Amino acid sequence: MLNRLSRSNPPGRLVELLACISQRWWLAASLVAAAYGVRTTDLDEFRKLSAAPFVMNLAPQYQFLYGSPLTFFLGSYYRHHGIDELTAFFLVHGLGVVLFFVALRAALHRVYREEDRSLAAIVMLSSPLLLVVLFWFGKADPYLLAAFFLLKTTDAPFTRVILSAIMVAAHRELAAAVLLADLCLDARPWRAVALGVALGESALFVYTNFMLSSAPASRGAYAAGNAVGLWQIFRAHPLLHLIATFGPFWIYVLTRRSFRLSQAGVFAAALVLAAGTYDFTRVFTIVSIPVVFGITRDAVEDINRTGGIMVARRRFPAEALWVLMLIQVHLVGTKLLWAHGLDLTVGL
Amino acid sequence: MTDAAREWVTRNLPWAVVVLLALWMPPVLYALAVDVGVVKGTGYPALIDPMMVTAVSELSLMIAALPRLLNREAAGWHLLLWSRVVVLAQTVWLIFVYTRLDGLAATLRSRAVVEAAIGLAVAAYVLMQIRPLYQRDRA
Repeated sequence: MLNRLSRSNPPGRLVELLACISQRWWLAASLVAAAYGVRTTDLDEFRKLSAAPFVMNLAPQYQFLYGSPLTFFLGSYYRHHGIDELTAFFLVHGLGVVLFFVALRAALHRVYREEDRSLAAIVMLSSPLLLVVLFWFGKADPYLLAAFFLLKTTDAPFTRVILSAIMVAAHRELAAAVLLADLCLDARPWRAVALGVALGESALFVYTNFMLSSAPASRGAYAAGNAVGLWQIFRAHPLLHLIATFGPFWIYVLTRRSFRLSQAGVFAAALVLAAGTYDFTRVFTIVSIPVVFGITRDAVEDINRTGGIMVARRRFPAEALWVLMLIQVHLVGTKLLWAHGLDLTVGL
Repeated sequence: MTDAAREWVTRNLPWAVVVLLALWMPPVLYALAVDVGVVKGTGYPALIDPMMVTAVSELSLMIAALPRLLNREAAGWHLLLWSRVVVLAQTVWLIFVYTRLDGLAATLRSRAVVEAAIGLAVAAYVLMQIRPLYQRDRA
């Protein structure tokens, strides 16, 4: 490849370089990671919770974390096997990121032909999905998303029960929302998933209500306490919120010839749910992942047919689509998160 | 076990091994890192400690078994069986050491021994059940 690049003329070289990266989605994802960096979150809470997962030792405003115990239990396991808290934090969440990419690759292998896989990944990662993993290092989101991707690769009922239960253990509310959204869009057998959710919810109920030293404040209570402030932010910047939903992935949404009613319904539900939370883009991206999955499939077909996407009567070539991945925006409350810790605060 | 259950276990066994390796390897690697001075710490088993030797052997056998289990080769099944034999040796050593400190009855009731015994019993049952599904090694 390098020999070929050096022999060709400069514009041709650029095209070849673009094409080279577009055929290797992991390279494009690495460029996004290098450009935007990683942000850690919930480190203090991880310290406290993984040290004693059965003792209520978090302040009320953080007690909703007891509803997402998967990573804290993993951390507790490692810490009780001699690993210090900081190493355990990076280990648990680093493994989550690895699992996320492995599961994404498995889902791409299941759904797409070999020649379409990189394109599909590039289209899908044009949504803020990658930033959810990079900017929220400390949340259980990679485990939740990985379990969802793996759910897409299997029809075995028992495996689906396990994966659904893992999703609930990673985040009980978001897991239920994602699985419900997927149910609306994908008419696959749902009994195993429902059983997994029921098992996961039952285990979490037993954990929070009987095994913890006292019952924690729920996410619902937290959201209700902040609802007015969050609504004011949404009302002040509705367009910004809309842009921050899909980010560059909007280009694939808007260039489609048709949009299913069920997809529009899931989009609206995800928007309402995310508007009621502080971490808007993160919540929207996770809940709407079944929509992104479906639109990606259609977009790949369209791109294969036309060799790119048509924007304002001009064709945007398939080889350059990965560049869209680099134009990301992430909304958290009144903050716009950007590359390497650069934040912009919007007024009310 | 039903045929469907055997098939499910055989198909998913490599991934179960990956999960177990993700859980068991970091503590052993961390102890090794302390031993060679990369990480500061005290109270970790030394490299020549029988517990450490058996833990490293067990994990090595599991790693070696992984690609063969994916191809459903008999060699993978045998390596996994040997990894359990190593755990059995480790448990016997544990009982021997703890008995000198706490007495046999207290040692057999200890959490580490009970967990190891249950784990070994389950692993032995599952491995024997799925044995016919592993084809002979290719020449």
